[in-house]
Amino acid sequence: MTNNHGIKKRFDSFLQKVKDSMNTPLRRKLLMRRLLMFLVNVCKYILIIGLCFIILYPIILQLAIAFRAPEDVNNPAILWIPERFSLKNFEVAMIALDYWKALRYTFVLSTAITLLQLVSTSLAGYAFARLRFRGSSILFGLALFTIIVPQTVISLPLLRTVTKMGLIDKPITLFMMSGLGMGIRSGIFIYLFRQFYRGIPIELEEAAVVDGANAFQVFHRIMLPNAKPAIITVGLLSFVWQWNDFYFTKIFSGGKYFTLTTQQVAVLYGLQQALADAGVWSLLGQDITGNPYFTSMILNTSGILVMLPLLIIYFFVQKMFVEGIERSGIVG
Amino acid sequence: MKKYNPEKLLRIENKLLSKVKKLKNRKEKIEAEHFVLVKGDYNKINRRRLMLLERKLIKVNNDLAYRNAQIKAVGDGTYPPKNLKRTNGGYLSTAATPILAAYMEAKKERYQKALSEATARYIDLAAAKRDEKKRGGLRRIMAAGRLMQRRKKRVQHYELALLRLEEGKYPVFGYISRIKQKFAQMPYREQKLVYGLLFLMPWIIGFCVFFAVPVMTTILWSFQQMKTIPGGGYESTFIGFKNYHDLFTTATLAGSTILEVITNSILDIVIDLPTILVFSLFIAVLLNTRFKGHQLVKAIFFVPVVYNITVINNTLSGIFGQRFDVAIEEGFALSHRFAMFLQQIGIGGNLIDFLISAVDRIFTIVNMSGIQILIFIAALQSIPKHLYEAARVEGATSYEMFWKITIPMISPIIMTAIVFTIVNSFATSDIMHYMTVISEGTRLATNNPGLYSAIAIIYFLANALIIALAFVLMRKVVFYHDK
Repeated sequence: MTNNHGIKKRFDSFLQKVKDSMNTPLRRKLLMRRLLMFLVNVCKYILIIGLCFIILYPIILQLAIAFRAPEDVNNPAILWIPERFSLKNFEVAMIALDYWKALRYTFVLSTAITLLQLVSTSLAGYAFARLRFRGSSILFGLALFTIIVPQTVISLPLLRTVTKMGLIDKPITLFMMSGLGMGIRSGIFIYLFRQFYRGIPIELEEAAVVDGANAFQVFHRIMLPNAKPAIITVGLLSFVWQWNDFYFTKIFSGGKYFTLTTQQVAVLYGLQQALADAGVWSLLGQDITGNPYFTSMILNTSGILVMLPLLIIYFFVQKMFVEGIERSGIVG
Repeated sequence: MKKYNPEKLLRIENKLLSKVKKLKNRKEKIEAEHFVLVKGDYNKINRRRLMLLERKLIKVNNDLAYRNAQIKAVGDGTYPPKNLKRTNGGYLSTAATPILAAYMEAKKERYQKALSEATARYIDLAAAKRDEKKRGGLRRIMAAGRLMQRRKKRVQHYELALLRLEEGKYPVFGYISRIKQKFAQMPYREQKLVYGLLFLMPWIIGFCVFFAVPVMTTILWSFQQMKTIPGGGYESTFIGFKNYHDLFTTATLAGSTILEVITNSILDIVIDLPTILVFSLFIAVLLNTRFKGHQLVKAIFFVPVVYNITVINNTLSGIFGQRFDVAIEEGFALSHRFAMFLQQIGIGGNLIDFLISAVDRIFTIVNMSGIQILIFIAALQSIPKHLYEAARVEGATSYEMFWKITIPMISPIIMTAIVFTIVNSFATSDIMHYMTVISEGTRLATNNPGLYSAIAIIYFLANALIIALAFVLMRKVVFYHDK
């Protein structure tokens, strides 16, 4: 009884407040504005949550598929949450991908190439930004030109040259290309570094030159410590792009030296054969393995296995990366 | 200080003694050659070799002194010795002096003659300029003056060298120190050029080897008929534009004509481009405001940067993905109903088609716009805040501020984002599937490189055309702050 009374009282006071706020035109206006803001905010959150869902949808999908037991492949009642959790798909996908070996190769390859890309592109970017000479703008135009020429245009003659040099099927070709500033989208990195170095006040550099530093010292002692955001950005992008690259890696580091992505694509075209080679058939029954849904399931699981290390790395460097982007003023 | 036990000291001494022996041997050899050279004919002597021998001699002598001091320290029991350094540099020996003196005398005379000639020329030119009072010709006079200065410098250089030879204090430099000296004497602008070229050297080499040559070769190949020869290699004949002609008429890629494939990939780009741009700009503006949980949202929105687009596409278009699609069809049903509504009120079919395809591609679009969002956020952060404050004081609404301040300020970046989007579409478009050199689908690259090159070039030209078009369209809109 008392409780009811209390609620009524509170409701009355609330009504009174609303009436008060409707008293004068100014107050009415304020209230309207607040209501509007509230509505806008609600819309904004709905939109953001929806978009977040769209972005994460592939991962959610993959996870939902990956943890499903192979026996439930044809069960249409199970959609999002698997009824029986099982790690069997992961086992099979790992065998098909030759996972640990491929992971090691990919990691080594990506790290080395990232370092080489950083060295070559930051040097070139600095030269384009500050060590300008007659004709350097033409060279910079050529550097931008390398961005817009698709890989297909150059890959065939390049393949021939590399074969002639006897470097085919050896990752050293990839190292050479990234070390000489012609790796995957190096042009973009050169552009980013140039824009970034242009943003650093020239007075810093001049002070160092007056104190007797040469260009290498200026670059090493003044520019690099200031360029941390750009280095983080370029490093992450380079690492990710190398990790996900299929085209160059497949061409230049053929059969023996495989990465996760090339393995994944190979599995895409020859999963049945790969599984048969690995002797997985004995693990599962014939009615499951012949099923196209099963193939799709293994493909998805291998997909998440390929992306998982990157997602974990991203999770750790994410904050640094976002801050780096915001402070780097990529824009210049 | 480190102390050694007697056994180890003995070993060290033995090692040092053997080193001294080797050094002495080398010294004997060098001295023998030096002796022969010095006693030879003055005019036919190889001065370069002589200088090299002198330098080697100095180095060997230094090393010998250093090792001997070490051996002495072992004997004294003070090993390792303090403050002992291998001294570098040194002076020319007296045996070599007269040879070099004669050589330098001759050189000095030659340069002096050249100097007087240059001076005469300079004076002539200057006098002619003064007398005739004609315009121009200043550049030539300046050049003559510079030449004169250079000659003068050479003469001074040899005079100084002769003076040093007379005093017996002519220093012998190594190659590196000589280069360093030369570099230090350069004017600042030239030093900058040298450094610039040094910094760019890796890139220039890479550009020539891995870019310029392949592009030229592709262009060449596209005009050639190439046939495989048994035993490897190709036999090529020049056939003009036939490859291009074939490309547009007869040739097919996995069932569909090449023209269709190229048109499809270009259409994809044309549809994706505006959608991605608007979407990423919208998201960037949204993320640029501070709200509860904005850090988490930012982290999620940048996840597509690390996505593997092939894997994602496989997931979405695979059999399982389709099953899920049916499940979330309700979300799409709304958009189709909206399209129906638009059709009923009579808005053009093209727009509806565009909208429907945009909605169907929403996953692709969201996943392709990670970098663009990044670029736009960086651009938004770099807009000075005082512009907005001034606008607010003048009574502008936030809608006006967006169109009058935000858009013009980030317009150069919109251009960057456009280029990036187009370039990114290259890598993911359908054509790449057929054009991979080691393709699983077709073996075009190995069977017919000429046609392959022609397709690649046509594809590049089409993309370049889109970029050029975007530049032309955006030229009026783009606003450069510093111009």
